[in-house]
Amino acid sequence: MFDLIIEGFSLVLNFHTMLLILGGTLLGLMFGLIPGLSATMAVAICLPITYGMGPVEGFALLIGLYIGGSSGGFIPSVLLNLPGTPSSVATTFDGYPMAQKGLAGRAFGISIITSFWAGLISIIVLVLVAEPLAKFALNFGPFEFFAVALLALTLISSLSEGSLLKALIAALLGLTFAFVGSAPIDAYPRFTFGMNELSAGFNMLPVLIGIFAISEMLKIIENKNKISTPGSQLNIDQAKIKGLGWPLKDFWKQKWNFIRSTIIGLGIGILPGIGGGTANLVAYGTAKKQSKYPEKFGTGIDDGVVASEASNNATIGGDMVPLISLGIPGDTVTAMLLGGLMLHGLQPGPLLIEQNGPIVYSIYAALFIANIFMVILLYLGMRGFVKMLSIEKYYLYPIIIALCVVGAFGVNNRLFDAFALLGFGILGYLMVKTKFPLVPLILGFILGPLLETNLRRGLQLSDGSFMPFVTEPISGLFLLATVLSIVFSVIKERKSRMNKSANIAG
Amino acid sequence: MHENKSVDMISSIVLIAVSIILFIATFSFRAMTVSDIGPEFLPRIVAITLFILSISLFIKAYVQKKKEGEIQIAEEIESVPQKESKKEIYLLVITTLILIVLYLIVLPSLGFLIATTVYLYIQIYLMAPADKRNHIKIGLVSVLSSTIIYFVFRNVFYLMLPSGILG
Repeated sequence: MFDLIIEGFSLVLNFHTMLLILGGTLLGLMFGLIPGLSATMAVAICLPITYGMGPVEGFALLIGLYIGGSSGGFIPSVLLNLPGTPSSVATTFDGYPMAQKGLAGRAFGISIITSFWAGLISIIVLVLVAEPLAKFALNFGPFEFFAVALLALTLISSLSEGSLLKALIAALLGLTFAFVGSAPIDAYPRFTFGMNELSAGFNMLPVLIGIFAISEMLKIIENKNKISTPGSQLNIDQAKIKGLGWPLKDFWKQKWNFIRSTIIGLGIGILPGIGGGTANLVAYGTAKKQSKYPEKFGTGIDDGVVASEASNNATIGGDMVPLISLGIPGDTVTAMLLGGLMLHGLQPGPLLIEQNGPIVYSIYAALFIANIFMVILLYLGMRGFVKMLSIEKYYLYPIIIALCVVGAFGVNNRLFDAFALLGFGILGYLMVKTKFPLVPLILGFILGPLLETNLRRGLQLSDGSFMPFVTEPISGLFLLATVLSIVFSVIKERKSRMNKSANIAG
Repeated sequence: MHENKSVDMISSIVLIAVSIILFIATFSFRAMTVSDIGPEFLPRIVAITLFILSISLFIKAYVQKKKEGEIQIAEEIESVPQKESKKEIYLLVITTLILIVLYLIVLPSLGFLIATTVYLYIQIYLMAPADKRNHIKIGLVSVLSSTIIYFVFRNVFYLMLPSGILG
């Protein structure tokens, strides 16, 4: 493993690749801090760019975007009470009151320091856990892979917000889009409805960019008030960002809170389907519950900011564990990164580390380096980042839409892909409006081929019998967990509905 | 319960129709392998499950709508004054969609530079608040950003973009 660590770093430690990590982190921070733009969108838009690069360079850029995009969100949370990304919602609870007291610099200091350390710990956990997990998964045959893919799909559906029924429907739609084109194993064309362009199936990039980026843009356009910038009223001097720091002894006081929040972030990250958006709220809630002075939460105390910012950066390493070891994405950004792996001809799955060890370790190295760049950039460039909040959105969003078109069009130079981008953008928008979650659809689309190939291979092995899927111990266990995840989610939904009707009655 | 159950009912009807179409379409797949489990197997299962779940969604929405009928009406009365502005909001979404379609249609013939500049100009103009529609500034941003995107993507990232009549 140490050889691989050295090899990974040696692949990354050159001017060109370091520049890509730096640029990625910088761009990621911008996407993270501007409300409405997110790490997911940054990675989606830049995925096509990596097409012309080698896998190491490509991932250097993507990882920079991921770390930066996951970290920049606290700036508007503190200054404007407006979370830059869903994963910094809880930062507003205490960060904004802190800024109101003239302590914005302190809130920034806390956020930067805890983000860095939590991120670092999560990356170390990733490096330590991913390889043994992948080794364990090497024993998996088609039965186990089918079962684990199914479990990931139902877990993501049961954990995503809103109705379980709608989440499952979204996952099925995603599977259906994955069926389009030639079938695995016998390559028979399906669901092409006579269109030649569909014979190879939907291209991954238009689907990903359309579902996540275009739909988000349409949603923002809908709310015209949001287009005009709240940051323009921001008086930067008033924000007093001079005292950018946080005394070490205060950090020490937060050590248990920090460790607890980091563990929460890690755990939530490893579970498929939920990431920083959930982690920061859970960690904040837990910190408040465990605190000796819960009544002070929300008034601008360190604890709240620490909980939120430690947990959301800790999800980074956690989210990447199932991606690297099993080839199953933990959230939307890692779904994009999985697309990136495929784009660069790397086969995701438990063989990834064995077959492409140096590349995987170069990804680890990029994570470490991007985490450091993130801190440096934030300390040196805070004034610039704060200024970015006053960029007028009506200039920015149309440019983003044009960039999406470039991304979808540029890879294959097919106009069909650009229209597919728009089609999936509209679908995503309609789903958001009708409260269908998007993540299960994407996971269904990405896991569809894995699910089907292994189902059919398994049935070939067993001469058409379904029994081995249940009787093989590991696969049976996964299927049991699949059923349980649905059952629990149904019970949870029942309970919350009863509570709600009780509230209405009372 | 602020979710609109009528919306759920409509979307479940659409989904039921989709699942039926998908199910029928699977019968045109002819297996080339001899095994029992051919390329139509999983799509058919998915179509059937989609059908069942969509019907459950419809029933659930229908039952809840009946239950909450009175509350719903009260809410609708409250939201009447907002209706007018809602129309205007969707107008911008729809014009944006039409604009993107037009942009994509002219993209190959006009080329990326011209098509994108024109698209950006109109899109920014539409999105900007009326008092901030500065033609010179919008024009400058449109020209500059499409030029930068074009050259960066072509020469730095080697992505093919249509050059059109300029090429």
